[in-house]
Amino acid sequence: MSKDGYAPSGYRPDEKDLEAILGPLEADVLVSVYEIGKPVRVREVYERMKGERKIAYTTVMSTMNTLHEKGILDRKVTEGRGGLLYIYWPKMSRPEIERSAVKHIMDSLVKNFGEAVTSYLVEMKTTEPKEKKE
Amino acid sequence: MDLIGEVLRIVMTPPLLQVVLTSAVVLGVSYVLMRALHLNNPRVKSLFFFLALVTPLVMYLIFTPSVWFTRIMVGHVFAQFPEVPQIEIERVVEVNYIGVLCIVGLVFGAVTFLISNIFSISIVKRLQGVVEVGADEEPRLSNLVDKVANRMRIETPRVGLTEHLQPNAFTVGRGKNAMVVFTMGILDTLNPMELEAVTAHELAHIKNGDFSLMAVVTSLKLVFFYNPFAYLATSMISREREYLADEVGAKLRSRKRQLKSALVKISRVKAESRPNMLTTWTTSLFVYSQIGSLKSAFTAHPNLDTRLSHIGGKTASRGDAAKTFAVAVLLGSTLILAGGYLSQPVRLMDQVLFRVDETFGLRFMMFPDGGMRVAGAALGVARVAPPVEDIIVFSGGHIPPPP
Repeated sequence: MSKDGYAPSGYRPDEKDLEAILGPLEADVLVSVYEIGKPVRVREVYERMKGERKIAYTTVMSTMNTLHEKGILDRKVTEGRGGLLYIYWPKMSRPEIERSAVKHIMDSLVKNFGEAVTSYLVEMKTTEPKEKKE
Repeated sequence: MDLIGEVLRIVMTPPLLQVVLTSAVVLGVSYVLMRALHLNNPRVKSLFFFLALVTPLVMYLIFTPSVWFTRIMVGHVFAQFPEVPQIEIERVVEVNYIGVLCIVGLVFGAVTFLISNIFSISIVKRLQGVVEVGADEEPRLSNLVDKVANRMRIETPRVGLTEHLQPNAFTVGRGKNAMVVFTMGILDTLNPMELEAVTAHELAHIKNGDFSLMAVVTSLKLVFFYNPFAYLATSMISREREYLADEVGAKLRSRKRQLKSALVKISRVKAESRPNMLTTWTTSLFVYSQIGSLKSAFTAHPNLDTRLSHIGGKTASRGDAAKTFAVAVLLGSTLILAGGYLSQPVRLMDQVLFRVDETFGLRFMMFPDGGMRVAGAALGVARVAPPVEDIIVFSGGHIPPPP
């Protein structure tokens, strides 16, 4: 999975940003990981998110686990101060994730509704300049 | 002055040897007596071993540690008048290294005691990265702790989690403030029944008041940090408290089998890590109940086999009260009889080994005036050996025998 980037299991047209391709919690956790900008342990993400919303420590823990299973976060066992623990870091940058998700979704759309997609794209291409002029 | 003499002088300076001897005697005698009487009750045993840490404090009352001591040097002998030799006596005030050692220990112990009573929870939380979880966050774990606490009739402690992967659980703090901490590793490793057994073990530590006891024990260990028997006593006490917690915890709804399988599972996870020494040491100052520490060597926790064999066995029996009384009486009389030698080991050495006369160079010990008044009543009566003379004499030169 990691070779082809991230392949979302679904797309939610009504959601914003990363939440359209990830669960809402997953998106929040991932954004926090990006904001921290270095390999993180669960507690660091929890401390950061706690300030913004009410969230349980174990929820953050399981969400990061899910993100790892989805191939978005990588992790390894390290020596923390009190013992062994996981540190996580993103496998891809945010643009890379968005790009590979779009690619995956578009591929699937083309595969299933090829004609509709191409005709829509053509239509969009031709109407676009007109809209700009108006 | 020769080296051996100087070393002997330092080793025998009060109260170093007296403290070591007292704790050794208390520990050894109580151990042998309990062995002989088949007294296996861990509660009683730990309290007798605790005495080995408390009784040496009496020695500090007799030989009050001080930074300075006065040594009387006997110098040249003038023989202006051959009938009456005149001896030049010099009083030298020196640093008493042993006194400094004792005072440092007392300060260490007092500071640790204060810290462990005030800041232990916050220090451990910080060091181990514990996150406190509420009932709404982790309902299953909180309910479990609540259930076990109710069954034990203690107040429900707070619950903490760490993200560590090694299976471990421990308690810190006492009473209302007590906190029971689980690692994610233990939640992943154990099934619900085993987790309940481990929780019962940890809450048994709270119920048995182990935090308060072990805070005192650890502080006393630091007070007598120069005494190897203090370390031995501490690990023996800690071991008995573990057995006691195993017993009390497993008694509840007889979770013996689950506790055993939990211990086996925990010990099976090999720690391939070398945790930060400083963190481990600091944590061990305030956490006395780590269930996961049974796998490592050099630990105060008993090893797995001994522990498993203990869980099923019956340790408390009906005759315990009588046996305890007997051990107490025998230990007390031993201490009283040996009191003189314990407080003045040099006298024993003189008599047994050297059979020396009064001018022997090592004979410099005595009760200081103040100390005699404090502890004099008991020990003065009990002293088997007659008191030594009142002058501290260390002969630097040779004193000719009186003509």
